[in-house]
This record gives sequence, structure tokens and C-alpha cells, in this order.
Amino acid sequence: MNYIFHILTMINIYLILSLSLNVLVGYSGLLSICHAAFYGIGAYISAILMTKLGINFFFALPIAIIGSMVLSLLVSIPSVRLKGDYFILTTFAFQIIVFDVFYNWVSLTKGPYGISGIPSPSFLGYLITGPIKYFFFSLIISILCFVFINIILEAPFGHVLKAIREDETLAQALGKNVTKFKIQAFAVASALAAISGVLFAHYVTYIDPTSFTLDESIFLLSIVLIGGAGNIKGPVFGTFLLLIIPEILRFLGIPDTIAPNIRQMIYGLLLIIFMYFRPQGIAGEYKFE
Amino acid sequence: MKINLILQFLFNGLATGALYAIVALGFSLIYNTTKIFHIAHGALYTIAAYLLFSAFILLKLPLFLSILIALFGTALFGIFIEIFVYRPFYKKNAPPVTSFISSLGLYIVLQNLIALIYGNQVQVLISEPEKTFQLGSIIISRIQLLEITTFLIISILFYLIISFTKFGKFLKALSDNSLLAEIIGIDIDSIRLKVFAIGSMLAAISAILSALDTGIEPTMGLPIVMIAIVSVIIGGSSVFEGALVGGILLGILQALSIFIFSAKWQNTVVFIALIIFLLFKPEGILGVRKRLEEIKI
Amino acid sequence: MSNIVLKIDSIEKSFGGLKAVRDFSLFVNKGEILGMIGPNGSGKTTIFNIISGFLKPDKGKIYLNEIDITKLSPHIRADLGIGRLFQDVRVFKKLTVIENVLLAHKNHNIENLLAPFFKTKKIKNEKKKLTEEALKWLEFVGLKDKKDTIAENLSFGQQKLLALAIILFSNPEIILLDEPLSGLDPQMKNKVLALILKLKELGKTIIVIEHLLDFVFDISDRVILLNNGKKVYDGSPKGLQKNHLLMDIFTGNYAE
Repeated sequence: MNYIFHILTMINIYLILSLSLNVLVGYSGLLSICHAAFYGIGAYISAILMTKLGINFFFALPIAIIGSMVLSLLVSIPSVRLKGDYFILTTFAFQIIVFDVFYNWVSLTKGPYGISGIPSPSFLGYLITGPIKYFFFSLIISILCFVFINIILEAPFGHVLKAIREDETLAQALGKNVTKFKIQAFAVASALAAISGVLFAHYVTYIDPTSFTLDESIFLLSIVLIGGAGNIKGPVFGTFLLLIIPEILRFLGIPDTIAPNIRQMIYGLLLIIFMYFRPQGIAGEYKFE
Repeated sequence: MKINLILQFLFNGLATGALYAIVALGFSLIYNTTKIFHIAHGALYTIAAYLLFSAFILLKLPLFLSILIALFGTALFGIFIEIFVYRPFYKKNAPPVTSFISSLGLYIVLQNLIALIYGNQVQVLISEPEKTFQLGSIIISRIQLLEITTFLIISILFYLIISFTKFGKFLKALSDNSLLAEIIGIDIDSIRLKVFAIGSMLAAISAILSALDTGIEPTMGLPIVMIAIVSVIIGGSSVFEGALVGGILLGILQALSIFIFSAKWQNTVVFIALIIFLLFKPEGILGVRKRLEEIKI
Repeated sequence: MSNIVLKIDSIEKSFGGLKAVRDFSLFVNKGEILGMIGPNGSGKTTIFNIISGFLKPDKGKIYLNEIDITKLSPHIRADLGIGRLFQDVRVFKKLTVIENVLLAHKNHNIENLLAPFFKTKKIKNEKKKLTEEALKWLEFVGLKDKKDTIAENLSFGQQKLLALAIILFSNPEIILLDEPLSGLDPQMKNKVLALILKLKELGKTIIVIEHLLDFVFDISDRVILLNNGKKVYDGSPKGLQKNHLLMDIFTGNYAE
């Protein structure tokens, strides 16, 4: 029973990640391969603040969000004016560099040893720990994020993003400051990814760089692409599907030594199949013209 | 003496750079003629290494034969990938992004397949210590010499092919304007096959040298293809030779960064170099400055 | 108060070794319709790109209502009042007709990331106002009944009408029409022609690039003729018709 709540908690965390990546990929047309970096930045900022400085969770969270947004400028400012391939490469570079920082800046992040003993959040003396309580906690936060994303995407801001995705030149000719919008989209996406990171860190209470690698960024991208980009349903489908697959494998009795490899192969195959037969994913609406 | 140490690092960088240059040339060949961002190139690199391993260590075949198997086996794989994965996308005029993402998916599938078959651990092919000799104060290993020599031979061969053969002219035409090339009747399908065969073979050459030098593991392809991509961009993505220049430069840059900062920041240095180039000189060292309007928006 | 909407001062533009625009100067008065003609490759679209900001000139200056816009980005120039119809008709293909038009509004405040949280009421009111205005222009071009159609499902001609509606909705100071009649069947051509005439009646300032010389001579107050990036005639349409310059250029007999 606990296990089911555990999976549901992870689904909540990944929902926020995929919905926020969708703001970039599905709405702004920006294929980012560094989302896991922001996931990690959120996790590390919060973990460091709470373990080294004893700061309360509800202060660490906003600081992690702001920190992530500020750091997003490091990648968005250089990259948003670059075309397609070059943009992806810049996010690629950012992902590698951030991972190196997590791994090598040992005095700050404890490097490959990771940070352990991350305290669970406590609210007015009530400790939120264990899969069941954390599920409800993460559910509240993911619903709030879902509503937030929905509001901004339905608002004029979201419409401009879609316009930019369809035809940047025309959007500029109509007075839209495309660079500014892209930078803002990046900031939102990174802020939400940081929230996921914080949730993750305080749930599993131990983090190390291996959770925030290029592989993870590719996995997040797969969720959005397979589930579908460009609307709200797609990432939801994608998250459920891609997080259930490993559980199905476990259910089928596939041994743990080879399960990760088989899981990855399934993701890879799904990517190829969807890109060929259904580039808008299961439930999405953006097809990359 | 510090200067000797630097020289040693520079030489090592040159040898590693030679390997990078060869893989990068393979990537550049494929990218410039087909416009496919062929990340799976890294998987072919790994496949070559494991083919060599299977032939030489598992089947205990003679080294020379094993190398041939690895070379031609990889070329064959490259052709398969073109026929069964990329060509369908090409035929339906799919947007380039979808080919890129499928290439990514393909890489993931292949890397994990290899891990499943062979296990995740590092394997070593040659366990005796490498023969070395001394040139001045620099220690040179036999295989480093082989790496640099192979690079030189390939560079010269490539130059000759590109400049003097009809095939080379077709390649240049495709890289400039594939639509026009198609219209004047160049058999694009057959050239694509050849390009994938040659490109994959180049990856194989590099992989074989690397496997004999340091060993193999299933994840070896991704860092290599990343460096290949950076080499192509820094050297100049619009001309094939850019890959060669970029590869050597990156090898040296990496060696210098290991010398100055220590090995753990080598990736960061490489990618910061990439960002600097993308921002200030996106056409690369050898590239021609395109109209700004074609690169930036 | 000056009557000059657009002033171009000796601009030059080269691509590699090719000089696309050479020492080009121009005044456009308010309410004037200026026809720009010339053979293919004479620099017309390049000049439009320079005016709207998608290309920066190597030399020279551009003034919109006496404001120096030479170094400004395209989106700022659009806000200042430059409206552009692209040669390859550009619309937001996956969005509906009404969504397309609404995107041309200039009220950037409501587009802010956090606006929906702090300005909810304002956004609602603005949307209402803007939708009324948008419908007005859709009716003007004759697309009102198609307002919820996805743009890519319109015919080519209808997409051109949509593009026109988008520009008009943005209430520009000067409209740049790049080959508005190209690719249209006779019926559509007449429709678009009638619209442009109506715009003339409304006193809009327009520069139009076209190859259909009858149309250009009919509708323009003034005509400029370009050849190889240089302006070789700037004056009344009648003057050009009497001049053998036109014939020379189009038959290749013109030597500078």
C-alpha cells in the first residue's frame, strides 16, 4: 500500500516537471535538454540551505525557486536568439556544466557522496514524512502548479508563446518582444522544475548528482514528446505512462539488474515510433513543422 | 621541469585530439550531407568497440581480422540505420527535429542493448603494458603514435577524395544545397548510404584505437559524440574539414584544462568553449560567416 | 508638424560581395500611396526588410515620424507603427482567424507573465474591447463568418485577407504591402484591390510592391522604380509611363 503512495508521489513530482517543460517545448517551441539541471538546482539549493543553515522548508522553497530562475538567465540569455540546432546545443552545454558543478564542487554539494539527512518539511509542528503524508502534500503542490501553469497559458502570455512557436518572424512583426517572452518562459519552467527538485529532495532525504544527469533531461523530454506537447493533457498522459512502465516491468518479474536497461530501451523505441507515426504524441497538439 | 610537463600534456592532447577529429569527421560528413543530427553516431562508436571485443577477446580471432570485422560490421550497422530509421523520415519529408529525436531514441536503445548483452562493466582488450619510447623529454606510446598517424592519413585521403573525385564533388554539392543537388540528378539515396558507411567507419576507426588504448564500456559513445559535435561547431560546421581542426583543438584544450584545472572540469571547459563560439563565432574557425539572419533570429 | 511619415536617408546594404541596396533615399508623406516597382532582385523586398527591421543597413538612417528607428528591433518598430504584409503570406497557421487578429494588439501590459493574477479584470475588459475591434476588421475584409476557422484551413486568398486584417487591426502609421496581389485568382484579386482602394479612402499611408504595373499606376500617388538596388525614378506614375526608362529596364537595355 505504501508503495502505491510512493509511486503516486513520484508521479506528482514528475507531473510538475513535465508540465513545466511543456511550457518550453510545447508552447514556445524551445526544445530544452537541460530541464534536469533545474530540477537538480532546486533540490540542491533547498538541501544545502536546510542541512547547512537549518533554514525552514517554507523559506528554503522560495529561495530555491528564485535561485533557479536567476540561474536560468545563464542559459536563456545566450541561447534564445539562436536557431534550432544551436539552441538545443546550448541547453545541452548547460546541462553538462551544471552536472559537473554538482559533481565537482565538493565543498558545496558534497559531490558524488551526495547530501544526506535532508529534513522532512514540517508545518506548524506537523511533520510531513512517509509516502502517504507526502503524497497528499505533493498532490496539493502539484495541483497548485497545474492551476498556475494553466492560468498563464490561457492568458495573453500563453497566446503569445503559441504565436512565437508558430512563426517568430510574424510575432516580431506584430510587436512581440520574442526574446523577452522566451526568457520569461524559461524562467517559469525553471522555477517549477525547482519546486519538483525541492519536493524530491525532502521526500527521499538523500540526493546526489546521479539523479540530475543528461539522461534524466532526455527522460523528461521523452515524457513531453511521447505524452504530447502543446496542451495540458499531453504531459499528464506522458507522466503516467512513462512512470508506470517500470512498475509493469517489475510486475512481470523482470530482474532488477536488467530492468533499467529494458526500461530505457522501451523509452527509446517509443520516441522513435512516436516521432515517425505521431509526432504530436499521444494527446498533444504540437507537431514541429 | 614544468615546460616538459606541459609538452607532455600537449602531446597527449594531440593524440586524443586525433581520435576526436576522426569521429568528428564522420559526424560532419553525415550532418553536412544529410542534415541529420546523428547523435546515434555515438552508438556506432560503441558498437565498433564491442565488435572488436567480441571478435578479438570472445572469439579469440587474430587482431587484424577482428579490426576488419569491427570496421565493416560498423559500416553495415550504419547502413542499416540509414535504411531502416532515417530514410523513412526522409521519404515523408519529416521536419528535421523529429529525425534528431529519433536519433536520440536510437542511441538510447543501442546503448542499453549493448549493456544488456555485455554487461555494464569496463572491459579491457589489451592487458600488457603499452610499449613506449621517448622523444626528447616526452613519453610517447605506440598507440598514440598510431592515433596521430591514422589521423594524418585520413586527413590526406579525405582531402584527396573531396578535391579530386566525382564523389567528393557530389558531397560538396549536397552539403551546399541538397534540393538543387537532387534536381540536377545526383543519386541522393546512394550517396546517403555511402556517407553513412564511411562516417560509421570513421567512428569505428576511432573506437578501435580507443578500445585498444583504454578499454570499453557501454556508455563510452555519448561523451565522444558530444565532443564530436563540439569539434564540428568550433572547427566550422559548414565545411567538412572543420571537424578535423576542431577535434585536434579540443583534444589540446582538454589536455590543457586537465593540466591547469585537473581532470574533473574537462567537460565544463569544452562546453564553455562551445558556448563562447556559439555566441561570438557560430560559423566556427574555418566556417564562412553566414548572413546573421540565417543563424540568429 | 511635418507631414512626412517615413524618411529613408542614403541606406546601403550588401550581402557578401553583392550590393543589394545602393544609396537609397526616400520620403513618404502621410496618406500617400507609393508604388515600388522594379525587376526581380532590384532590392525591393530587401528595402522592406530594412524598414521593418529584419535587416540592418550597412549605412544610412531611417526615421519614422521623425524618430530614428535605424537601430531598433523589429518588434519596437512594429509598436511604433510599421505594419508589414509579407510576400509569403504569413499567418499563424494553427490558430483561429480571430486569434490571429487579436495577437496584433499593442497592449503589452496584459501579456505579462503575472498579469492574469494581478490584472484579471483589466484583461477581461481588454479582451472584450479588442474582440469587438477585431471583428470590425474581419468584417472589413470579409472574413467575419470564418472567425473560428483554423488559419491553415483557409484558402491562400483568404489567408491574404486575414494578413491584411491583422495589419489593419494594429492601426499602423505606415503599411508595407509586399506583392499583395500575387498568387490570387481574378476574383480574389479584385477583392484585395477593392480593399486597398478603401484603405486609400481611409487615408492610410502605404508603400506597395507589385509587378502588375496597371494596378500600380492606377492606385499610386507616386511611383519609384528600382534597378540593381538603386532608385532610378521617383515621381508621378504618368511621368514614368511617358518615360522610356521603364521599357529599357525591363528589356535589359538600361545602362547606368
